[in-house]
Amino acid sequence: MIQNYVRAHSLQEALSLYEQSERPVRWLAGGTDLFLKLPLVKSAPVTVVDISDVPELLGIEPSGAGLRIGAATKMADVARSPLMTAGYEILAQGALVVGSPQIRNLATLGGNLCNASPSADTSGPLLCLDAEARLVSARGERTVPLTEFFLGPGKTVMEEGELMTSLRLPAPPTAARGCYIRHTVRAALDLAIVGVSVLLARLDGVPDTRIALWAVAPTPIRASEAEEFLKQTAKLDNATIREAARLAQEAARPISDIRGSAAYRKEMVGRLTDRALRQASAALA
Amino acid sequence: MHKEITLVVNHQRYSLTVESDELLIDVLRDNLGLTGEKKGCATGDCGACTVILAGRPVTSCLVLAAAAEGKAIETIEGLQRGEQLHPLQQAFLDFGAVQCGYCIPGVLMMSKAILDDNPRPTPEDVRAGLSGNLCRCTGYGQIVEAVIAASRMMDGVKR
Repeated sequence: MIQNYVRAHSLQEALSLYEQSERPVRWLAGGTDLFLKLPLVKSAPVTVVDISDVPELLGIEPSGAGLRIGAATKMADVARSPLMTAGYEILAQGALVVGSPQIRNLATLGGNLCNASPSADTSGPLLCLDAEARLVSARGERTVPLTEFFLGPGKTVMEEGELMTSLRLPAPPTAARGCYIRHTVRAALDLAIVGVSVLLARLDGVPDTRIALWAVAPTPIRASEAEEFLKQTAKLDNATIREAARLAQEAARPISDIRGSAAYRKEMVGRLTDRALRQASAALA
Repeated sequence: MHKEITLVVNHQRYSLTVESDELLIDVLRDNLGLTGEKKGCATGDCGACTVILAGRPVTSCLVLAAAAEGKAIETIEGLQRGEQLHPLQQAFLDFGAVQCGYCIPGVLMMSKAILDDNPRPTPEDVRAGLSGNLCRCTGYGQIVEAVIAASRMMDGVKR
């Protein structure tokens, strides 16, 4: 149960409130995952520090050649940001499928990552875009590439007292095009059976390809062997796409659960990676 | 822990004492007697508790009452003006969009939010906008027609 609720009006205040409050303390942004995991009636009493209005955690703005996105930025705002163009479109698409319109007005980008569901809808695009997370605590700051952020279902590298303040996205490769596919039963209020996102660009004729998978391993992952293979090949044609899709399928380690069997999911990784690569390369042509 | 908070609901200020862990939906219904919105699932999955908070439609079962302090809250009780129904409410009646009625306050508030954002939605826009509101009775057909009809009646004027 929540024994105390306090609201932070600045990053500094958030960190002080955390230090001053009786443990355990939980950060509250949208609450759309927290209130499902934290039974509100019977559990160890926690203090929640509301960070949803902390200015340093909000906003999407250009940063160098790339973007900075405040970790408490709501999914609805990510989805409709005019800055989500070209290669960043896959992130907007990911944000747009989270939950429902109501959920997207509460849920935050940072929360989706810190909750660390293997099925997090924005994880694939952020991995493809080489995002980095800025983590701040009373003891200092550090930057963690998202590829190193997830440790397992519900587990990240974040330590006690750390707060994710922002995501930094470098500029996508010039003229990059992506494709985002979330395979689900329902159009809304669902989680991925399989999630695939790709980002393609052409550097001097050589494809620069990122492929990310979610819902098919203990964490969201980049399909590195498939990416390496495509780097070695000179072009993206039917044969190379098929082989890349096969390698992505090899990289997946799904479990069987209510949404699908492991065998089905593995098969679908191959098919959907193939489809995503085709769609993205058609857009690139 | 008790907290003294002020909530602004349908333009009225209410001073309340709530527990830190009380949800907005429960405080609206139990403390303020505003029983229009329903607590259908308590997990954000059905939309029956939808209210408009600081101009955004949200599932109030996932909002702490204390977290709603300082933010304007609109509920179904505030949709009509005195005895005059909002065009959406009238359209829902005219088009037979209500059966058991349980989902309807949430659907109406979400519909208002859709029209606030996009005064001339297509049926697809309405369906997408209502994707977080579950209705077990109607099949949504008359609901979508009613929202489109209301949008035409309102003719771009925010109500």
